[in-house]
Amino acid sequence: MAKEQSRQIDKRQVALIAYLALGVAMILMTLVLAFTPETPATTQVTVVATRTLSPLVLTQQADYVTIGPAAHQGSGTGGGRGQHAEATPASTIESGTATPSGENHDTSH
Amino acid sequence: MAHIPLTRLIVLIHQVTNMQKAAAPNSIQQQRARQRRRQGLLSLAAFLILAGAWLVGYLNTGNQDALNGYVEEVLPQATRIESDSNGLFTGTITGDDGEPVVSGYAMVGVATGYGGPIAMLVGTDPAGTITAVSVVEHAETPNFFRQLERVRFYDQFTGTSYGDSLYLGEDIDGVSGATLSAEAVAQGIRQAVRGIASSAIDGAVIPPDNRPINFGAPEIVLLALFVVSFILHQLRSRPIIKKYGRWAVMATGVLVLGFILNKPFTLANVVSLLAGYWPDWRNNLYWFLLLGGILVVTSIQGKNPYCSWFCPFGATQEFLGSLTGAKPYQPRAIYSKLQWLQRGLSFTAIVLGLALRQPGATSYEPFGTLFNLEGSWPQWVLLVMVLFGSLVIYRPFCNYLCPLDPVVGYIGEVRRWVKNLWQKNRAARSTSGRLP
Repeated sequence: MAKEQSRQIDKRQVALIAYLALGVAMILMTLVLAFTPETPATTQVTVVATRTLSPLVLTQQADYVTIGPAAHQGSGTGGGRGQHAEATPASTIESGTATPSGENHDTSH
Repeated sequence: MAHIPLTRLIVLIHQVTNMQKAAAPNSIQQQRARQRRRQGLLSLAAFLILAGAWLVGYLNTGNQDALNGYVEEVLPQATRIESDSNGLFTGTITGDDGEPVVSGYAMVGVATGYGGPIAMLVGTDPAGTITAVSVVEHAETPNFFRQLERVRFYDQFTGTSYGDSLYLGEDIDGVSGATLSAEAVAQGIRQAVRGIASSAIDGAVIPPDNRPINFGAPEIVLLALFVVSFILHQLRSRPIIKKYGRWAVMATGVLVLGFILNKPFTLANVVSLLAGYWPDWRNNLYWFLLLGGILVVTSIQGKNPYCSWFCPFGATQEFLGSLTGAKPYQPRAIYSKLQWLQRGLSFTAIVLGLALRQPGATSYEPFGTLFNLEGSWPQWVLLVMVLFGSLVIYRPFCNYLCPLDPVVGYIGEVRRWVKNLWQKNRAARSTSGRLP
């Protein structure tokens, strides 16, 4: 009788240990997934900034009859530091100076 | 065999019994002293590991290289980007006369979210209108932070300007289930765009940063739960009122803190606190009330009001257990070892969170999985296990796996230690007062 009772207790304990072992495995897996470098903490999640075609290509494709001065250049409130006061027509961009974005950038931090 | 007189035998037995009685307290005292020494050493080792993790995390933060590549993304038209000492990036293109023309500006704004600082890089046109935003760095819980992208939260900022208020609930819509993160993103963007305006745009009129104090329904409910559970806990002479009151508090916790607000107390809150990532109190009063309330009430009352009363996840387990009459199961032979397992898990997560400065990643509790249906696949498995386990064992997650139980238990230990120290000092003072 006593042996049967102790066996039952053992079974319950084994079941509890197995249940908790699975729980611990899931917790460790959760931590591994959360701390892996693939998480958005280290990857860019920009949703607005998109690279367009290079200015060179855009200039070549442009319909010169309908294009007017670029609205944002020089039309801001007060004008920025080192900014030209007059609007620069998009159609007059020199092809030699326009480089695809992401190239020839001098980014000093 | 020599005959021993009966009286002599009785005296001998009496002497042996007395010796045993005298020896017993000694061995108990020795055991206790040994246990105290062991606990002291463990506490010291734990403290040193935590301090080391904190230092490692501190030394690894503030890496300027994190911006590499992002500035070009928010100033896509610029052919040349220059930065100044104020942290302003100026993008230029070459004009028709060969002179550089400003195509836009960019700056980083930082605000504290749920898991730590969120660094937002904002790109504007020369007039200060936002054209692009990018998350440079964050330490939020990944599953929650992804919600912002999913609901296109960032899109709301394009076309806005430094002159706009950019507050959640005013011109920006919040994100349910990720309020703290959304609030911090908005704050970071606000800081950056206004920084651009003050550094680069002549004559820019920047509105004052009049952030309203966020005190509404969530804060009122939380305060009410603390007060009601505190009062009910004192009602020892009225067990029926206490019993039904506790069930009402638990139901409110599940419904309001869990399903409606989805703002439970998690390990990420604790790690953020330790890492020094305290969010702006005006926008995040709830965060301070929750942590402050638990600390204050546990210190005063000696009982943790949150875990056993209004923790939505604990209450859910208890409700499920009440359906089947689940009883606590704490086998004496292994229970203390299992408690050390629970402490070990919690400690590991805290050390990782501090060392890697990612408090948001430490939250392995499946709270958000239940109340917001957000979580990684192991959290879903864990949730199902816990919900089924609750039908058999009383609060299985709270008793064996919750990382907050050891943390709150530690507050109780500190309280006991301070109380003992105070009582000893008082006794020593009264003894020395009696001496001539």
